Amino acid sequence: MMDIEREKELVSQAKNNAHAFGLLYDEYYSQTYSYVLKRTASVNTALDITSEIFLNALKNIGKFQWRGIPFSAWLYRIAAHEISNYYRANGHRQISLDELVDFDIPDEEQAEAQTKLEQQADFLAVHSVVVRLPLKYREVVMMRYFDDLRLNEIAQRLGKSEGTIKSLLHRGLEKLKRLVKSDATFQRPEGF
Amino acid sequence: MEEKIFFEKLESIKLETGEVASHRRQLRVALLHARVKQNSDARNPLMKGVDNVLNLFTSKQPVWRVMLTSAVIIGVIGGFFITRSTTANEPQEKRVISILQSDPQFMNAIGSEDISTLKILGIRNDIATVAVDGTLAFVDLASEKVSSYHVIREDFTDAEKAQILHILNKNTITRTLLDEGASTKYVGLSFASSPFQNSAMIYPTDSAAWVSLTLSETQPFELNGVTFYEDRFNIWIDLSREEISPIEYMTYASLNASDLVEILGVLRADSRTSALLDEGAALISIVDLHTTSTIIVGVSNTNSATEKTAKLILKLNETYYEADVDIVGSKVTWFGEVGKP
Repeated sequence: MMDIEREKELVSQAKNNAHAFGLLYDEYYSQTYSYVLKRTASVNTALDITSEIFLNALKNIGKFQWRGIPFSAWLYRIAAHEISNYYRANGHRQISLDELVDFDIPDEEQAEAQTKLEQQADFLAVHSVVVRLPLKYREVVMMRYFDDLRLNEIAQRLGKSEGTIKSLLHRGLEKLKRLVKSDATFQRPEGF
Repeated sequence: MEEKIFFEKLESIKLETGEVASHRRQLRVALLHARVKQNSDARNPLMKGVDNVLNLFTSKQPVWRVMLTSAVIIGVIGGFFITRSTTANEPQEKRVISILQSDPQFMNAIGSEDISTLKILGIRNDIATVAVDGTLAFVDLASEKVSSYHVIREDFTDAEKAQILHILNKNTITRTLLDEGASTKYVGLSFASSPFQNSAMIYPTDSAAWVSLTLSETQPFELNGVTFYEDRFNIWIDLSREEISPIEYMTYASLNASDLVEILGVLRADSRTSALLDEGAALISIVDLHTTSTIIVGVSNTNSATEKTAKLILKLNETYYEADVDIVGSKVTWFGEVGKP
């Protein structure tokens, strides 16, 4: 993780300097893509949303005000917004990067990434249930179990108190129990 | 039981997300290109490159910088003459960016991992003249290679500074200066696609640095058996050979902007050189040999305060000519056909 002072300096430079923004991109691309993939369980969708996140960040970095919260937290808010948009549109998105570039990603590279994802049956099975939670519970559960964050880290990222996060997590898990119990079609994945 | 297993799995879930490397790379380029477009209203990439060079003429600059960047500005001006520059379209710019970024030596020369600004000045015979990040480069679109460049910059990377300090410490004279408490000023770097000759360098080199070592006060100092009073020492470093060229410890006679204008005026006033220019000579950078009619500018300078000369190499089709210019006397002192430099 980048030192906070270094990050602050880089963010300041990135408002006017493409190279500095590139360094921020290098630092946070993997985490951002990983975050999105865990929520969408689709490589193609994760790539699209990741592109939108960084484009959004690029457009708005001039307005970013450093208030002691890491840049990553701002980035995650953008990410959460883009993912939320994705779910609201039921998975149908218009990507606005056409005017910049047509991504030329080799089919085999993308297919390989998707295959690797599909091999992780445990994750996909759990994901298929968690994703049905209401957004406010879903995000807390995903951060806790998919991203492996501690409660105080989730609180910081979401801008809420730790007490609120505990409560949301508890209610989210209760809802998950009801979903699993009532889900007559819940198939026991291989390995369960 | 299924509920229990579900929550056991939830507690222990781990996802290997991996990456799609080509997406990471292409998105980076796309974002930086978007940044260039964002800034294009505020700053014309071409003018930024020219401004960088023009700014040199308003401040006292060491010989090396004017000497070498005169070639750049000539190239920039020449880019208009030779090619009637056209508005670049995006696919062409993207292609040029890709070619430049795939040349590690060029990217090392500009000291950056990415291209920030780029403007195609024109294209002729598949050679694109490009203003990129404040410098000039020539890109062969047919072979998809960077054909020539000459980069001058003032920003030193940490690695470059470390290399320079290592070289300074290897040399007994400069190590002595450092031991005496001289402070190091990193003045400039110069990189070219093929070896260039600078009058201060022993050999032609493709990468050089200029630093100055300054003692805290003027004092008698002995170097190489010579006693003199000096507080500043200008050091030329050949980065390719990792050695120091002769140390300039006398006040240098600098070649300034008005000298350059005079040189061009002298060429126009001489019937021989003027005729070559009239036949369609284009002004390009010091190392480019790809255009059909070119002027390659190489400048040598003497240390005398009362004598300033310049050596120019002209090329028309495949024939090379040398013109020695007496700047003070405003005349071409020698002109003739020479072999390929």
